[in-house]
Amino acid sequence: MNNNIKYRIEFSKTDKMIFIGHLDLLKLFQRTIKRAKLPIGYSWGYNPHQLITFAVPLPLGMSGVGEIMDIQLTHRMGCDEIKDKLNECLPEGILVLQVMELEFGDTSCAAAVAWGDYWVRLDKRYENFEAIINNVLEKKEIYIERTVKKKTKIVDIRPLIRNIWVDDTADVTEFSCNIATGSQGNLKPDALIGYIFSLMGETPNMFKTDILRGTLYTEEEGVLLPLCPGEKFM
Amino acid sequence: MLKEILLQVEKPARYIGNEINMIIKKPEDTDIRFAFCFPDVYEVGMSHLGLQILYYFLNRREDTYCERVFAPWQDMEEKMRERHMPLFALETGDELKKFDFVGFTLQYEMSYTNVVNMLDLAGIPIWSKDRREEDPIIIAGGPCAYNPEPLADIVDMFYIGEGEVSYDELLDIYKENKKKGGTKNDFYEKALGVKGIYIPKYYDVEYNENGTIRSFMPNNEKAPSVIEKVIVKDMDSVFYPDKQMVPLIETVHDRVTLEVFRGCIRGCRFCQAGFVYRPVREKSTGRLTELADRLIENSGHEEISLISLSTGDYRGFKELAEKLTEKYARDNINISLPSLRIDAFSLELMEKVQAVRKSGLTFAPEAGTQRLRDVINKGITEKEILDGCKLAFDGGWTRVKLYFMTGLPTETDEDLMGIVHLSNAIVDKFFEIPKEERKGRPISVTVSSACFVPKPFTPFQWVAQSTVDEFRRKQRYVKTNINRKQVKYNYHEPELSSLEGVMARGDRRCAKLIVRAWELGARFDSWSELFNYDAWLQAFEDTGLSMEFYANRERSYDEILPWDHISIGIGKKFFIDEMERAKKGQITPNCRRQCAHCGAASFGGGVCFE
Repeated sequence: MNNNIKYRIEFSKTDKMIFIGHLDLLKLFQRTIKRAKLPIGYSWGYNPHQLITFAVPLPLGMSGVGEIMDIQLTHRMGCDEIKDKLNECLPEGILVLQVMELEFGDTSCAAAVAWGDYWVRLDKRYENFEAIINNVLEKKEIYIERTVKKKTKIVDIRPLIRNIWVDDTADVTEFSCNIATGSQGNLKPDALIGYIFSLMGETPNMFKTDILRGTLYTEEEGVLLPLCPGEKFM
Repeated sequence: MLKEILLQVEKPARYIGNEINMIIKKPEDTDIRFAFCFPDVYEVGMSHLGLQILYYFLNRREDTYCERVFAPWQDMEEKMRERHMPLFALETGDELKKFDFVGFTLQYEMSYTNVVNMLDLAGIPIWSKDRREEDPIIIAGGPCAYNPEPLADIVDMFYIGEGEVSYDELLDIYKENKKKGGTKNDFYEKALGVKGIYIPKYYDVEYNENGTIRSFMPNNEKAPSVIEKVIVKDMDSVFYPDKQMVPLIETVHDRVTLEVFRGCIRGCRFCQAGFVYRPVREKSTGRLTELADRLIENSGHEEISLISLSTGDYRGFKELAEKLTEKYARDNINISLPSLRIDAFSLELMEKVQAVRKSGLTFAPEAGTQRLRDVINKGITEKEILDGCKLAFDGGWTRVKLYFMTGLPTETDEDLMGIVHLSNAIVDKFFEIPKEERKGRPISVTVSSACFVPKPFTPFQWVAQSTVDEFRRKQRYVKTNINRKQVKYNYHEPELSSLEGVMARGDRRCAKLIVRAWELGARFDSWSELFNYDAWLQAFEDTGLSMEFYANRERSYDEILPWDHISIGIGKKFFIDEMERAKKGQITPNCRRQCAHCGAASFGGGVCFE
């Protein structure tokens, strides 16, 4: 019987830390938790590992300000204490924003996550960008080629897009979007950008494009709820 | 701009720093900026214990900021050159030209082209004579600095010995000189008085017509004619960091490292480390357990490695290993014990320490016959190896790795055949176990043979190295004679080992060769996928130097060797005696069994006074 207490942690991954991948981030948290001396729970078995679950990996190169992970502790601790202890031990660029205790039986973040906010800053200003986005949003279906595990499939990505907002005030084109994120359905921002650029007859320069992931949501009866609701320190 | 580049290279975290326990200082609040350069890729350099020790040692000084620099991988170099981005330090991102010292650690000869490349990427002139007052001072240390000559025209000053001893004095002198507005030369002249410091420009070399050295003389009255290595006397009171930087990406050795002792009692005649780090100096078990606790606490690592040249020779080994195993098992912390010798080896302990993981067992007989093992003074017998294997098989280990060298002095085909016989004997030992009692997977024996490279400060420093063709023939001979399907044979590239042989015993003229090979594209020579042998062959041709002269030529005892002005505390007479004993197949007992009077007792500590 597992008597562990589960906590949900919201954190940001920015600046230099965008250059470490998901597995390295996991290792970093494992070691940070040890240094912070949190009473972390371990799995049973031949090769025990810490009970940590991430909602959804953040691709290398992308910033995140609403990243979510769940951890299990063997003893109850105050949420602020967990936050402070972790932040004391984390390197610059990773910051725990808030910690909340989960109820017994709450779905894990990896199973719950369904949608994510992304903010995209392109390499330069593109004229008529708003018109193109409006055109995208008006479509009922959008078929694109996707390569998953070396197999190419034609899929409809329209159901994976909830909304796109264009900010036309800056000197380079920026937009935000709310798109499917997680194991139940996922649209990579890169794929969306690629599609938008194909409509413009151009190729995006992804090395000069900034992408930031914001809040991650779960969906309950058509309503989006942040995975970690509450006040966060930013 | 950096972000745009980093998104286009492999493993961008190599270039960002920001690790746990990285030291952050304001450069403007310090007097001395020291760039610690490891001339290989990040994952290799960060696994190096010497870097971890010196980084914290130098940074413990408030007036000094030591930062790290690694060799950018090919893809990064390309981007940097495209954009004229100078080589930078990880901590501040500042370019190397802003530093007072640029220090290289020389761990293996085949990193020399990377030293040149890093200087060039930093926009610092490659040749010492071309550097101006405002350029940083290039200093180098590490095991290869015991023969500094191939880099003598490139590096401004060498540090011979262990960093903890003289760096404080050297940096104090530098700081005072800088404050007084002294020149670089003022500093160099004062540094000539610091123990362990060798400044090549104060020495002139003359050559005989046959290419050997006629004379090697100081040209400055303050320059000592012999530079003696400096070593730590008391390992318990010497500085050791209680934390280590924890990389953000996986490195070659992804664990905290506890240094158990320095030196080695064994005296294997091919091993440079076994002589240059003499005498053996141990840390106490109490100090080690205390350090282990703090290292684990401050790093969060899941593995701790007990390292030395031969950890099984630590007098408190059993006690220490048992203490640590008991303590860390419940925290899911592994203890790794590299370099255990089979004769000192306790299987029971291995069983406990390695808990669940039954990884392979490694033995290093180095030579195939007892005769040749006696020649190289590898005090290990076939019976010991087979007994060890028997115990291991009974305990469920079924993967055995064997390390050998080919091209050892006096080696014959019979000795090579011995490699085959020994491997077969191990397989037979396994099949002696009744079928129903065999545990684990089927037996597999992996035989790796390296190419012997004669090194300075060993009894074999005078011998001729096998040529590339000879190595090839020897490898083929072993390969064709291996006839058991359980035995797998791997061997090193003889081309690389031959170049290593040139650099190891090279003289001042070799710098031209290194720089020419670099100009022709040589970098990361020790990485087989980037090794460019043709560039080196071309460099020999262009510089008129001969591989044969440096690698394949036997020296006479009275020849002036390029490293004769360096002293490791062991005299030439000892090495000559050892060479003569080797020829007769006479072994020399280890330091604990019987003192061989090598001279290391002059340092006044360690095993010589146990």
